[in-house]
Formats: sequence, C-alpha cells, structure tokens
Amino acid sequence: MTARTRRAAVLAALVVLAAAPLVLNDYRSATLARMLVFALTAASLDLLVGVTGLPSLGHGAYFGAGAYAAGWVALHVTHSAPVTLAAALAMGAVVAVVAGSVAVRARGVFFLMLTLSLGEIVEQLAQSWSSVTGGSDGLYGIPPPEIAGIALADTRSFAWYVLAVFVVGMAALRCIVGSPLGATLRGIRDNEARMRALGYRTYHYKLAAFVIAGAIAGLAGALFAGLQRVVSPGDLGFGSSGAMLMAVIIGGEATAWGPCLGAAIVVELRDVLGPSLGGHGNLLLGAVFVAVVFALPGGLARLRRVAG
Amino acid sequence: MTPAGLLDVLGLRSGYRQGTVLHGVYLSLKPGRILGLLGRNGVGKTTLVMTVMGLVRPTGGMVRLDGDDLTGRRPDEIARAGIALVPQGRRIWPTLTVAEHLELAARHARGTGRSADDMYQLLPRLAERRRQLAGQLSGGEQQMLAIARALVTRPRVVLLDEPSEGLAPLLVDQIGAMIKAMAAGGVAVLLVEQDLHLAFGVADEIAVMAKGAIVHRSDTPAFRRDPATARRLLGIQA
Repeated sequence: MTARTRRAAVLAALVVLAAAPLVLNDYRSATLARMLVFALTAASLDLLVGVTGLPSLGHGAYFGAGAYAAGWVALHVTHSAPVTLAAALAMGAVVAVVAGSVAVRARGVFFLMLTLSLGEIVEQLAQSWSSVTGGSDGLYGIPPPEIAGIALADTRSFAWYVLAVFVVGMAALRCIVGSPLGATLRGIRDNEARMRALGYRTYHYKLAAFVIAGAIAGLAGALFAGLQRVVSPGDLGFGSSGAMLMAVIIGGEATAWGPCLGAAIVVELRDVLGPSLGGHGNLLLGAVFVAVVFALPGGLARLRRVAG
Repeated sequence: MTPAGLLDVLGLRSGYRQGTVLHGVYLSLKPGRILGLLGRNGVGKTTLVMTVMGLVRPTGGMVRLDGDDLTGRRPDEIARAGIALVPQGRRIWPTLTVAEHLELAARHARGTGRSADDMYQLLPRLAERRRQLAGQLSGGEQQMLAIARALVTRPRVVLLDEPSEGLAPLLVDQIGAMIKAMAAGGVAVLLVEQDLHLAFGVADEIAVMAKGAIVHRSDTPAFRRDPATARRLLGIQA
C-alpha cells in the first residue's frame, strides 16, 4: 500500500467514524465511543509492547489513574473538557514515571511481573484511599465534560468529542513512532545492547516510552470517565490491563491500526455480545485470543500483509 | 608490555557465571594501525572486545583510552568516549531502514568526521538501499552497514569482531579495503579474525590469544615468515 492510498484509507475511515453517530442509535454510538477509548489505550500500550518490546501487564493503572483524575476534577473543580483531559494526561504520566522508573530496570518476565505488581498496588491505593477515590464504590455521578460552556451530555456529541481526542492521540503516537525517538525505541526492542554500544543510555529512552504511553492512556481514561460517569478500582486492575494486552496481540503489535482493531473486537465480544451469551463474553474473547495466537501469530493486521 | 597506545588494555580479567575467560590480557592499539587478533575458537577473543566495550563486566585489570580509565564504565559512556564495536554476526536491526541505522548511530557522534552522507558516497550500494529495511539486505550489505554504523560515530578506536564471517571472498576483499580506509583516517583498529587471508592482508601487527591471554605478538610480515609459530599457536598452516 502506497503512502497515498494509506492516507486515503485513513481519511475514509475517519469520515465513516464521524458519520456513524448520525445513523447509529444511542447504545451503538456509546459502544463506538467505548471502542475508540479502548483503541486509544491499546495503541498507547502498543508503544511499549510492539514498538519498544516491553510487554506491560499494568497499563490499566495509568488509564485508571487518568480516569480518576478526570473524574475527581470534574466532580470537585470544573467540568471543562480541556482541564479534565490535561489533569488525566498529567496523572497518567506521573504514575507512569513512578512505576516506569522501577519497572524499566528489569527485563523479560521480571518486567512483566513488576508491571503487574505495580498495577495491583495502584488498584489497592484506589480501594483504600477512600477520601479521594471513593474507595470500593469509586467516583460516581461524574458530570459530562463541557466545551465552551456546552455540556456534552448527549451520546452523539460525546462520540464526536471522543473521536476528536482519539484522532489527536493517535496522531501523536504515529508522530512519535515515525520520529528518531521511535527509531531508537525500535532499536532497543531489536537489540538493546547494540544501542548501548552506540552511546545510548537506553534506560532514559525506555522510561520516556513508558511516560508517553502512560500519559496517552491517562488521556483515554478521561474519556472513559466522561463516558461511563463512574470510575471504580476494577477499571485499573489486572482485568483491565489484561484486556488491553489482548487487544494489542489480537490486532497485531507494532502495527499502525492493529491495536485499534483488536480493541474494537475486545469491546464487541466482551461488552456487546457477552451479555447476550449469558455473561460468557470473556470465554468467547479467550477462545478468539487463542485462535489468533495459533493461526495468526502476528495478529489480524498480518492478514493484510499476507493478502498483500 | 609497555602501555603507550591510544587504547591500552592492562591485565584485563573478565568472564561469565560459568567461569573466568580472560586471565589478564595486555594489549595496546595505536592510531592509524591495525592489530589482527587471532586465536582458536573459545580462547576469549569475543569476550575481550565485549569487555573493552563494557558489555561484559571486568573483574580485574584496566582499560584506558588516551589515558582515561574506562574500566567498568557503562557501554554508552565507552561509546561516547570514542570506541565503536562492529559485533560478530553484524547485529543490525532488521526492522530499521539503512538510513535509520546511520541516523541513530550518528546521534552521539563525536566532533567532526564521517557523516551518513560520506558513508553513502563511500558505499554507493548502501545509498541505493537507504530506504530499505536492513533485514532485507544481503549478508555483505549488512556487514557494510554494520561497519558504516560504527564509522559514523566518528570513533577513535574500532573493534571488529569477525567481519568476514559468512561472506564470499570478493566481499571479504571489500571489507578489507574499508578497514584499511578507516585506519588511514587515523582510527586505531582491533580486528578479531579467523580468516587469515583478511588478517594478513590488512593488519600491521598480529597478536595471538590462547586460554584468555595474549601469547604472541609480532609484525604481520614477521608472523608470516614464521609458519612454525602459526602452526603451533593456531593449529593451521599460515
């Protein structure tokens, strides 16, 4: 696919996404918004997993921290969308700096377990710091965000708001992947020792990837808080992190749109089809995950490469 | 051995969990000179270059670059001090393009010297393939890229670990010409080699390693005039 056809395909996809809330009912529009939120989170995780080679099992912590920050600001300070987004972005980055400065010193399975542990610590913090987080009840009654004094209370306008933030977040991630920093991260993934032998202090670059991914996940968390109007400790625990990693692997790591496709599939199977299957959405999701791992080790994005 | 070179290795000891590999290596490299390091498999040649580069931690001895003690420093500090490694097996990044390789390598380049554009002029084949993924290059092109990647860092010392490995004779000659060119530019070169044709063709001096130590050092012509020593130390007909 040439750069021109790729641009045309992206533009066409954006037009379809922008037009979708006009024809979809409220439930499907909300599902689309949820897919976009989860897609942005999965894409941010892919910066760690696919681009840098750091398979994190604690990404829900940054997403959840962003959601809590946005929810708390909306409840206690202002509903202004730029402020809640900025608070969530900053909180995701701060939590990622703290967790990343410990985690990126480790490698392989130790890194995986450290990220899992750090995620669990953040979840426990959300459970126990009741005066700020609402404890096990979480934060509820979060008001919808406002832009220029207009509350995005209806599903359609909220879906467009989510799409706009999704586009900005994805554009930022694509710019980073295509930049010299992105090339450095891919170099670290492919051969870290070689990068060090070229003068790179790889710890700093891995930490930078961690913080960027955490900040974007936090941004997605703000969208989630505005969409669900409630944030609870479960949103930043292992279940959330595991689903994000599954989305990346199902869609195809280190691909431009694979994690987004994977996220849409996870939301559809778990949240849309799940209730009609007697709550067995996770079982179906697990079966799909196993099938993709064995039949398409590079994820669904590999289908296009095979076809091409 | 009197340390008086640009790079001095003094009684260097290192190894892995399984045991000590280097048992006190003494070596000295001078600017513009090529030292060919020969030895049978498993005597510690690769461990030596990895230890000098900081990728294996030394347990004793000293590595000095122009008088500065680099012993135990991190690989990134050693690279920025002016030592470059062309590792065995090339170790290129398969998912990065040729251009990205040279851009990444040049980011921490010291002072003035060869740039990526100079490399493209020197190696037109790389220029033709600058947008191609390195994993799609031939073995010879990958080796040229590995050497070019080291040179754009503008090193004072280059450590080459078996650059001829797996290459056709014609390509080995081209690699040899590149090594001579880098030495002509004032770089001190340590060439670890199994290919005697390449080592004898480019090296000013030959050192032989055995059991983790340097056991012989002489000018290349003198070494070639002494086939009995070569047979005794290397087990081959030089």
